[in-house]
Amino acid sequence: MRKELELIEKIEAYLQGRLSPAETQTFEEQIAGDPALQAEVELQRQLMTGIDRAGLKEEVLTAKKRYTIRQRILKWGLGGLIVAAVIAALLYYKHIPIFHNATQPDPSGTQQVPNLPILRPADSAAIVSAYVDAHGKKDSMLQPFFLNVSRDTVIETKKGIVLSIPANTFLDEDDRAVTGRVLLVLKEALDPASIMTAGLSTRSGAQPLSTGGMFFVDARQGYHVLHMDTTRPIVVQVPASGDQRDMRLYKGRRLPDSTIDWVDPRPLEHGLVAVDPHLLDFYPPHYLDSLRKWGYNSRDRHFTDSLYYSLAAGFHAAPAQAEAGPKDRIEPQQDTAAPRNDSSRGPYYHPRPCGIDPAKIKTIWAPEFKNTIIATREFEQRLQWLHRAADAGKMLDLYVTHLDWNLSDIDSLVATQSVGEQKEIFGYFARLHDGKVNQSSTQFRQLAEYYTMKARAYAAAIKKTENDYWDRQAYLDSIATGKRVQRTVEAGQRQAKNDGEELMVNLKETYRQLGYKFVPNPPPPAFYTATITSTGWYNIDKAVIEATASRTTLNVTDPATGRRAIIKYAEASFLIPDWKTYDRLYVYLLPDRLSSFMLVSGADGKYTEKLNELLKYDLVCIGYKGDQPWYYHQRNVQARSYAGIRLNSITPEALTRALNKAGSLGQSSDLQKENSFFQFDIKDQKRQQHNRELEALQRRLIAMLFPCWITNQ
Amino acid sequence: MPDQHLLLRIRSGRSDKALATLYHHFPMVRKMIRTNGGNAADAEDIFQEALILLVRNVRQRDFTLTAKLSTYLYGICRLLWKEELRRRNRPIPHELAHDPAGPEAPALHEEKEQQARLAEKALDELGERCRELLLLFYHGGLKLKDIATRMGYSAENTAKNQKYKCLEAAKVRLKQLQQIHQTL
Repeated sequence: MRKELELIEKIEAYLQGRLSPAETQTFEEQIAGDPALQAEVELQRQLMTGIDRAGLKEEVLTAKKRYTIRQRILKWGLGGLIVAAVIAALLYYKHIPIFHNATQPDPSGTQQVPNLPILRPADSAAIVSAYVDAHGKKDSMLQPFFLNVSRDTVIETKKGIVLSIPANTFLDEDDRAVTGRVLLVLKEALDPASIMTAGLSTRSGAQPLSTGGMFFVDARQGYHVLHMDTTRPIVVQVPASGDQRDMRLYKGRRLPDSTIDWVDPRPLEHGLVAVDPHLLDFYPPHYLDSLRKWGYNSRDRHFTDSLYYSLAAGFHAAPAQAEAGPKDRIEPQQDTAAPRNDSSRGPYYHPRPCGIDPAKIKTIWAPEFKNTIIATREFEQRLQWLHRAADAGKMLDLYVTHLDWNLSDIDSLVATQSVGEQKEIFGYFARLHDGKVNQSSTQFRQLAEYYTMKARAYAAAIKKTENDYWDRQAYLDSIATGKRVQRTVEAGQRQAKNDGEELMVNLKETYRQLGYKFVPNPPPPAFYTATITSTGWYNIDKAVIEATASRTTLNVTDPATGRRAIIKYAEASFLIPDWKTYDRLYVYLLPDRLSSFMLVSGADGKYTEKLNELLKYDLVCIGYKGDQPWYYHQRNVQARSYAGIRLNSITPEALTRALNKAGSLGQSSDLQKENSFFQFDIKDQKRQQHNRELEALQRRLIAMLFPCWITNQ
Repeated sequence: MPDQHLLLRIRSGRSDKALATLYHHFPMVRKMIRTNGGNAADAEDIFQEALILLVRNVRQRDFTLTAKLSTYLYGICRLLWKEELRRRNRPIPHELAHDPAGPEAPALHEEKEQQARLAEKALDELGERCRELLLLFYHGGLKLKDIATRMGYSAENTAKNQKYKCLEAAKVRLKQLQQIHQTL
């Protein structure tokens, strides 16, 4: 054996655990030191997995075969199965159910069915073998099925034609529905080879046809040839290849020369397949794209839904007009064009119907419409055009109130009620001949009623929710305004109180320096009015008041004694280098002999205040980055410049504790109040910002989705 | 057949009957896939892939079944279909998007599966005789002597040599496929 093969053998022994422990250890050491060998081992391991997988796949396919056979036995019975297995599946010609015996001449003088079998008795598998063609030969193209015609049945031919056969559709000679077992015989020719083998023509008169396939259906019970109840048609689905839009259904007519002519063409109905409504997009065109472009999360269905449906509030009482019941469905509800009333918030009104009320979209985009034309890809296409159609709401109603119609028929209806481009587009849709989704008409009627009721309820609910939301916001606005006013008033009161207390400190010191005893004036029981004609105490007090108010150094001489009093004010500045990083930043001084704090003014990170030499000050800085508080505290600051002040991040709870310890009881209480206001204000600013953005977004969307609405702002 | 019997069969390499039993859950899966944007062919593919995964997972030593086997199988199908929808850039229906990751939710090892699929492809491209030989030996567990008789080799040794040659060819092809896959 070659060296390479020996290596493969060794690796295989290793992977299968056939090496001795010593050999395994040696081999693993080799692998560890040789990357190429390591790769070989890994490759072979993967190959083993692949082989196992391939083997499993074969087992799965075998299981599938067993399952399929079992299902067929259960479905058709053993007789049907054997017949289906032995008969080669071919066909005859395209032919919507006709049930004439070849021995009976057609009233029109033509024979309807080629190779029509001569039926011999017995309602069993034997009947199939008795099915012979006109020449007495067994017809190998036949596909017989035995049906219990008292119930709905779906059958599929070998080449994939599916027939949906409603119960009680087969009638006897006296037009009575037959019961029990019926033999249904099918033939099919879907490809050129089958058609040629069967000797079928592809001409209609002198005109050549491009065929999509041919089939033949016959039904019998015993000797009796059955015909169909035309009110209970069989739905036949023929596998399509390529574009089938222009296909027509022709009926086969046997001519005296035994050839077949294809006559009575009629458009094909394209049965629709309903899908999960969540897979469909019922939003107006560009809604999601625009949200994505504007930076919103367009994949968040909850967000996109609630935003879009919130626009329904602008459709004042839109669905309330839907009084038209199923009886007068051709004239369905209209979107009212009335402007919004004064009580409803929002800057919009629309002078004429425009776009589709989102409440209606919410209604139809629901599981209730799961098995209707609404939940189909075909309707999704139309809806994209309906959104921008004139009288869009009315046009949508046509679809929803005619759920039992073929989609193409409703398209025609929309086209006849449209003009210009809209007429062309819906005319095009009508020519596609899209059919419908099978469901009972009772259910459709119920759904139409549901739509009317639910759209109205949604509209009312959305409007109420929208109004409630904005009412609540207005209430919160008033609370926020009240809090801001209260803070301003309290700030004024604090300032006045501080000023008064500082004045007292200054007066007391001035009087002391001038050698007078300071007696604060108790509040007088009443006032006497007198005129002052000379200077004296009045002037000293005035000088102290002025110095305190302007926070400038007091330098006053008593004219009576010549003694001087001096109280110095000197500037302190506080520099916070990273001030730009804070959303809000406040600097406070806590004077030891005053009952409240002083808010220090400043800009661009520099805060200045003149300090009274008689007082000691603590410095407190509070900053916020978003919700996160930052804090700085320094005791006993002096009249000088403090550069490089850096705040530290702090939890809200720790900030509360720190503020409780800062300054006097009154000061810490005021600071707490101040901080509580900030926390409220941060949240409230966010709320207001959100509302501003929401309004701007709604306005932007309305301008895009409902361009004929006019904003009055 | 009770779940424990099915597990026993799968673990002992007699999975054919177990698979036939499990195939009866196919309509349920087909319904799930059809209502979530797929068709019958998608359902077949997903269900068969899920069965393969199930068998391979069950054969793992540390495998413990915490739910009914059918629930487990259904869980794999849901995951696989969700992955397939993602691969096709199709929206995930709500029903699938909010799949609770309960104990019955199986884990998918997408990379490993991808490697296994490549290896399977390499095997498929080998030619029918090589494929059959390797499957009979490695998956079917047949002895080389029996394989030689069944496949018409003159001697057991010839079958053995042929087996290694096939394995070598498969390795070469797998290596190529992996390189192609990496450059894509």
